[in-house]
Amino acid sequence: MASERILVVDDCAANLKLARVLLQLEGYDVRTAADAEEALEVLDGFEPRLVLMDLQLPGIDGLTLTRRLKADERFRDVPILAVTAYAMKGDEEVARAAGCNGYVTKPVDALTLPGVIRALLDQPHS
Amino acid sequence: MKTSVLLVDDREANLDVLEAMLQGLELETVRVASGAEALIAAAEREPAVVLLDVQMPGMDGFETAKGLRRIEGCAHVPVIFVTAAGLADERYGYELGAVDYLVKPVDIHALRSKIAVFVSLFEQRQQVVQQALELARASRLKSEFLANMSHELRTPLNAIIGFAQLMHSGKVGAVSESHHEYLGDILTSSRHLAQLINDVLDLARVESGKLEFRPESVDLAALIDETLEVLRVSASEKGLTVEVEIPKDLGQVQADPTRLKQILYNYLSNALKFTSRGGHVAVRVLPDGSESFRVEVKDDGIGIAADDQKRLFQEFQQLDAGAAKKYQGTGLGLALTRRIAEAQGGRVGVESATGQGSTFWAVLPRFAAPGDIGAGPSSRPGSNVRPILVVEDDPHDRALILRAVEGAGYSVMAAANARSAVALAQKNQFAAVMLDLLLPDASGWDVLDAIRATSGNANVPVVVVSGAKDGSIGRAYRIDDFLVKPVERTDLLSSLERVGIHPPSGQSILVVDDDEAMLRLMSATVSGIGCRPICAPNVEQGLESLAEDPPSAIILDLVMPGANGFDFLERLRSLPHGCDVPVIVWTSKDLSPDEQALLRSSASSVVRKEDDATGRLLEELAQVIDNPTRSACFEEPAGGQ
Repeated sequence: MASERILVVDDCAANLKLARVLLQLEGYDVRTAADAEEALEVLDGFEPRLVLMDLQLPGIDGLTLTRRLKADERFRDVPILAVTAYAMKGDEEVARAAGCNGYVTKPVDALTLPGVIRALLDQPHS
Repeated sequence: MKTSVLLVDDREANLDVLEAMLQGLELETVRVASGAEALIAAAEREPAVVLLDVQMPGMDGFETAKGLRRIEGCAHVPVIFVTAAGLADERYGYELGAVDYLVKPVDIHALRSKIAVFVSLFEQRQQVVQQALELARASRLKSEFLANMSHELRTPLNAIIGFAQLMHSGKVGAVSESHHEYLGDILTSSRHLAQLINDVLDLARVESGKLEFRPESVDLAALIDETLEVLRVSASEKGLTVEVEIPKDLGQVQADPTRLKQILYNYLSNALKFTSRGGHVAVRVLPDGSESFRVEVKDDGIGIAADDQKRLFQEFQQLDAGAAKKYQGTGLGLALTRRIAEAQGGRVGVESATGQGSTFWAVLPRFAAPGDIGAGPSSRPGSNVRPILVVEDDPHDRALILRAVEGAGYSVMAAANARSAVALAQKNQFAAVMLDLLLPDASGWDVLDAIRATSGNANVPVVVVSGAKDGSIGRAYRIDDFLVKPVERTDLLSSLERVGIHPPSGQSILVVDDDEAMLRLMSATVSGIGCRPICAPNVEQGLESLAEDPPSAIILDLVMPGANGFDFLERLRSLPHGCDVPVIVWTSKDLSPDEQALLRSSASSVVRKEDDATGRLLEELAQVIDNPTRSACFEEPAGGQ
């Protein structure tokens, strides 16, 4: 069976690399994008099982991109895990309202993140 | 715009004289020839001082002064009475809030210097308002900077911690024993840094009053347990025993669980740090009167010398550099604890002695802070209900909001710009604020800060009504609801209901009076007790409104052109349900014995305009609307129609 595909969107190169290394170690097929435009380009030929989405992106932000993906028939059922450095009350509600299926704050715990992703992937779709 | 001075005199010549005397001063004079016009002019633009002729036909100077007190923004406007010698009752004037008397013929030097003083005082007050706005702006910029900085700091930290974790866990290949140890050191230090960033951000939020508190019923045992869970590993590593004690009869406790955990966590992690191997830590909750409860964390650790205890709760005041290194604190935990407790109206402290262990405590209010001042549905109409402040510069939007909100029975004050909003907030406590973000003279967020900085409105619920949804900044502010224009009446009202502000009462009061100024005065008075005014300038309109909008009570003037108050009463009492509505007659007419007898049978009471009219009127109103059964036709025994 081919490994499951994950798209990581983050504008910080080091964080992008960290996520890639971490998820490849778990056996996922990982693609990365540094902003929303690049993400949309990648998505043209890559149908991920999950998107790991930094919410603070230059240009089109992560919330907007999330809404766009959730409005697109092809990606409606792809779970989106939001990653943000803001850790304020209300942020999680905002992210979930935009369509994010999960929410983690930076600094992300590298040891527990794979578990969070696994749980989202294993969630049955309605 | 120049500061204005209101000149009130029924004689044109006197106004000319006053105006000439004030020539050359940096001010603008506004002239009016009657008390009624004075009230209207003052409502339109707040004057720095009012020069008020005492002897005027119709509404005299004293009545005008009383009316001024009821006008929005003019409650404290200084009034100088101008009077002919020996004619006025000076003491009465001072009781009405006059600041001075000038006797005609007025001395030009006395007049100019007095007016100059009041103009300067007024301008100083305006400056204070302006400064409050600027201060709020500076504070907002600082908070935004801190929020952004914390975000920027966390982003690289994410990579540092993540890669260190990866290598430390051995997932990317084996590392030597010393590498493993050093990676552990990097992890510990970077987590420390992450905590420091969180604490600094929290501290900045408490300081700017933006830390949110969401009190709810809490299960203290479970909450303490969850907090301990995080610390369990370090406790067991040191072989410490932790004991929890909660009395059965503590009763209901409401608190913000996140903030309470933060306080507990800070105390507990300190206790664990400073208690030696095999030591003992106890968490206790105690009642502290009926209003508060007390949380204590007691350890048998190294203790703290009396001199050092004062510094403990200050920012960055760890007891000595050596301890800081050894115990790895941020130096902010206890300061944050103090501020979190104080922001909720609580307090903190410590009891300790060197070598004898320490007891850190926090006393917190047992119930939710009185942020929800919204008069509940149970509030009585006679009680004093706080108004809602509407801040909106667009006249159409403002009118729409006012119509909707007033129409639903709320009492309302309105401001068209930031300055007047802040000035109103300094003098009034509001039930809620409805705020437009785009104002001509300042950002709505600054207005929000400045309003929250006033003593009576720190916790006032805020509904933002704005043209654009600006979520990125909004998240840093405590707002209770966000409406995006265009809004409709139902949006506004359901938003107020959502933030817990209910119309004070559904009761409306019909006011029938031909004097426009009196209608405004009564309208303000009626709104002030939480009722909805229906104003009618003549008997016909009064009667018409009865059918479509039946009032709970009627305030009736007797002398009106065309049909008068007696005609109104007669026609009212002949209506099917007209007998049930209490009527308070409000008049300056000298009543003949026949008229008195007539009113005894058809009105609930008569209030003379010469009395302290509004005060007595309020008493009468409160009685008839709180006690509707008493209302009917004043016939004893009842039922004799």
